[in-house]
Amino acid sequence: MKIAYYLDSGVRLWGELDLEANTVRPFEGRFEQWAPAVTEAGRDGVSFAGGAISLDSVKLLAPVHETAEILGTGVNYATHGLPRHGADVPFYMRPHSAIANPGEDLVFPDIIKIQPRCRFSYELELCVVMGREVGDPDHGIRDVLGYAVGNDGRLVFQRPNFIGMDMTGSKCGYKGSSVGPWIVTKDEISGDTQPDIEMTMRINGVITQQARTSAMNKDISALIYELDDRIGLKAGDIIYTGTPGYIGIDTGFYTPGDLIEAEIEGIGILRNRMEHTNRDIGSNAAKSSHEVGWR
Amino acid sequence: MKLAKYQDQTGEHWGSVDVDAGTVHQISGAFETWAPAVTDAGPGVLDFIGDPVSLAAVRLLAPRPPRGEILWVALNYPDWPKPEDADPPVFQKPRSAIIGPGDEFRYPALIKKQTQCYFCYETELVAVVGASQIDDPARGSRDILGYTIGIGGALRNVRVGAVGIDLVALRSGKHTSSLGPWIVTKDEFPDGRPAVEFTTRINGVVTQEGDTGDMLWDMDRIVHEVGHRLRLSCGDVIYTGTTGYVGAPDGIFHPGDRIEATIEGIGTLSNSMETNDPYAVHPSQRLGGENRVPNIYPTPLWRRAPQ
Repeated sequence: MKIAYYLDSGVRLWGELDLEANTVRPFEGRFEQWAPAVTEAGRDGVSFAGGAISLDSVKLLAPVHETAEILGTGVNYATHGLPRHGADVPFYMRPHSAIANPGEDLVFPDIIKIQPRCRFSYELELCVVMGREVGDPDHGIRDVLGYAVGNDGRLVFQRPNFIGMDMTGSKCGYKGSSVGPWIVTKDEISGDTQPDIEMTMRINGVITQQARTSAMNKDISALIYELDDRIGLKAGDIIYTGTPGYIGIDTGFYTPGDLIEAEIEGIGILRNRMEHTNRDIGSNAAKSSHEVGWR
Repeated sequence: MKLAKYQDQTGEHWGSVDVDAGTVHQISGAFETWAPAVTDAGPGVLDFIGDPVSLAAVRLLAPRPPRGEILWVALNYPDWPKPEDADPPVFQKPRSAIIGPGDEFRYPALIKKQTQCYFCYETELVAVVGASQIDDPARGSRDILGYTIGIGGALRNVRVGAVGIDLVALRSGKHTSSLGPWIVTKDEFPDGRPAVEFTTRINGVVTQEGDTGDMLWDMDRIVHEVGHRLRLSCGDVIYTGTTGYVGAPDGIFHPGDRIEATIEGIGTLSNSMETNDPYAVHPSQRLGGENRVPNIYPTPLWRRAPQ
């Protein structure tokens, strides 16, 4: 089942998306009620609050429940680097204001104004949406509601603060990231096992990232295990699971007006455009990572 | 004016607290509607519903709307070692970490996995954002609705991750931070920025004494730095850091501890620690019982010379 979060006459609703019929149909009850039921029983877990309406009369929103936490994972694919010296996987958090809706323009982060050497880039990621609190920490994937496509905006060449990388500065810019366009429940992907699906990133039609989700260093259950110890996951929480390396380019910097198409097999294509205003004033300051010795 | 969020038989509301009379008066409208107006024009713009009711008849909650983000700024007082030109480290906390006045703290689950960790308390001034959206962070504390008290639970000695300190682990456990008892609007402080004394008492004994005027990065700078990193909006809260400890080794929470955080001009926030002891060996024994600030900020792995 495809689950959409959408705006219908000013009201935000969750419902089932039917792409062939081009309709959405709202769920009965609150997110906290139906999400655990769908996690347990799939489509049998929900009842509907009304009839199907045309997709053209609503606006799709990023499928983020209003009190959900949005978590990110660093270095989880060998092609993009792995934690050195056996260190733990780095995690970070991101506010809701950092997420753009499907189809909406992305925005260059404000921090470029005070740190002009920064450059902004994209990261293609599989997003995991939790359906309930974690029951068995060794098999966290059982508590996953489904998956969505994620574009994880990332600032590079940023000034580290004195206790490590400034992940808040790097990852939290207003509408710098996106997730969506909808959630596909896990029974349509791989059930309670690690998904093995292809992810492809196209910038203006050119493939710049491509990998299979089976190549993750820490699989989804392992990430959930680590995160549940740290924050205690709950229904709706979203985990970006890390990005693979780039193909044929250095680090995937945006240029204004770029068309970003993030596609994951079995889920769909998440499309956004980078804003046309060139706020990327760092573009002349630093041309490559070697120049600033960042990595 | 003191603005509190509370629960009665009919649900959750916001109200204005009169401490002397021991009453709370329900505010009309949604937080997102009146908070920007109060931030601009002061609490005179508020409308109230019905008559004030006794504070004893309601339960005070953490004074933040459910959707708001929770930010924290680390090491903002001179007691902590840091380079001169440092940028303030800014991080997020999950919503599930926050409890209200009188609720019980929990030890972070990670203590069971990383047994070298220990859990401490930190009293902090907390700013509540009032403007509907901070588009121009240079406006600084003018977009702040008011201030409240926070007890930030800090897990120390956590293993260092691949890009520096494991910040999601440090301050994020379920029910590890508290907020309250109410927001004092900024018009009650000169310049809208409190320079006031604060203390922490554990079971009645003073263990932290500080002055929010000693902050290295003041409220204007904090809004500037945080606001350039993310778009702050109405109801977001910012924990602004804590000072050192007096007479208590590292501020370690013992099971069953009663904590009272007092900030002059705001009030007192009280909570207790759960009574279950998560430690195999208590950290005060591991630390030799010395009164010292532990080295919790080792060189991050990514800055060390390659091996």
